[in-house]
Amino acid sequence: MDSNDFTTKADQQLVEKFMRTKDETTFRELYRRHTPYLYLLALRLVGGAVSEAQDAVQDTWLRACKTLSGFAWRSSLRTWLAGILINRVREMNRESVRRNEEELPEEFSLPGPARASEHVDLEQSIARLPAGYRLVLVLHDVEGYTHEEIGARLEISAGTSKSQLHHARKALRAAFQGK
Amino acid sequence: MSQEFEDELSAEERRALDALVREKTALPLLEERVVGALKRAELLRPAKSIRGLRAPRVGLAVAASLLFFVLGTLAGARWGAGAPERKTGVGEFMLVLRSAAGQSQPDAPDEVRRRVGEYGKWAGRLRQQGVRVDGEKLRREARILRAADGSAAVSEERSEASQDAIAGYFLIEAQNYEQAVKVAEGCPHLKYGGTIEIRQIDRF
Repeated sequence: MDSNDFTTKADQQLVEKFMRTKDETTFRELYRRHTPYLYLLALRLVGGAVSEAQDAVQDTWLRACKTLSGFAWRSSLRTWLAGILINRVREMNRESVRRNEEELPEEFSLPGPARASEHVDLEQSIARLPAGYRLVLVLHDVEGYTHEEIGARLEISAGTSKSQLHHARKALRAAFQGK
Repeated sequence: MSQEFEDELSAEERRALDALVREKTALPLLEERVVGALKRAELLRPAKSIRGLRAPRVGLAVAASLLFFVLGTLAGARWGAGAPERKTGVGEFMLVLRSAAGQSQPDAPDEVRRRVGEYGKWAGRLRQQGVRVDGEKLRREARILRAADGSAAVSEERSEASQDAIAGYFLIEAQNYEQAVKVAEGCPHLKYGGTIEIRQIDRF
């Protein structure tokens, strides 16, 4: 899950410079390196709600910049940022009574090559899962987290994570069979 | 752990999940919003930008352009200048400011400056009301790129020469088209005979 050494080194250099200077240009470079990943992860975790995904990404960077000095590089910067994002999405899930606009907009789609329609179907089906199922399925089946890692992130047991994943996959398969 | 949850993905399911894209480019608006939020939280030092430069002595035209830029900035017409943070659950709309056919375009620097200030004040008032507004005045000069015989041909055009030329734009946030229209109705562009096209930004 962690990025390769080259990426980590480049991130370290940028972070060191940013910590030293608080320079906007350096931040923008960091932002542009990681936001495409964070934004898509946020979109998947919140089920395609664009404004929520943007809020989550913004809050992630705010928290990251506040706590960057304490980041010990035991994981890649991207993994650390993703952890902050996941926490934020969990908070948002708790805070919000899902609004009417939770329904996935028709235009929800993701860039993809030839088999784009299949990607869209899968994305839409994932987005329509209940929030708890969706979170575990995205983290496990898309992002590659282990159940132990998911448990630690979401403050649930590994067993609960497995159970949620089981139900999420079942719901996803049912959605596909229903098409 | 109980075996009842030990279901495995089929090869086809695994392939489909692996084929999902891993990154998606967010609109520049999000970057400006994040940078703005960090600045307000004093977590970021502003970059050296044209805003901080003195006008170079390279002639009146450049100086005038820079002046308009700075005026626009001071008046709050620039990207993210003091804009409130984005609210959850609102849409983003672009107000495309077009010059009507035959609409007179001011050439006198004083008049251009006055109008830029007027537009900026309108944007500033909206911000005071909590509406996020960003925008830019566009220069008249334009390059038009067209595909011709399999290659791209570039022509230079001054946009005032064409009807419905785009004079500038604003990006606003609103709950829906009705609210966006209501906001746009107050834009000074209308009183100068221009038209405003309102388009919601399509995130996907």
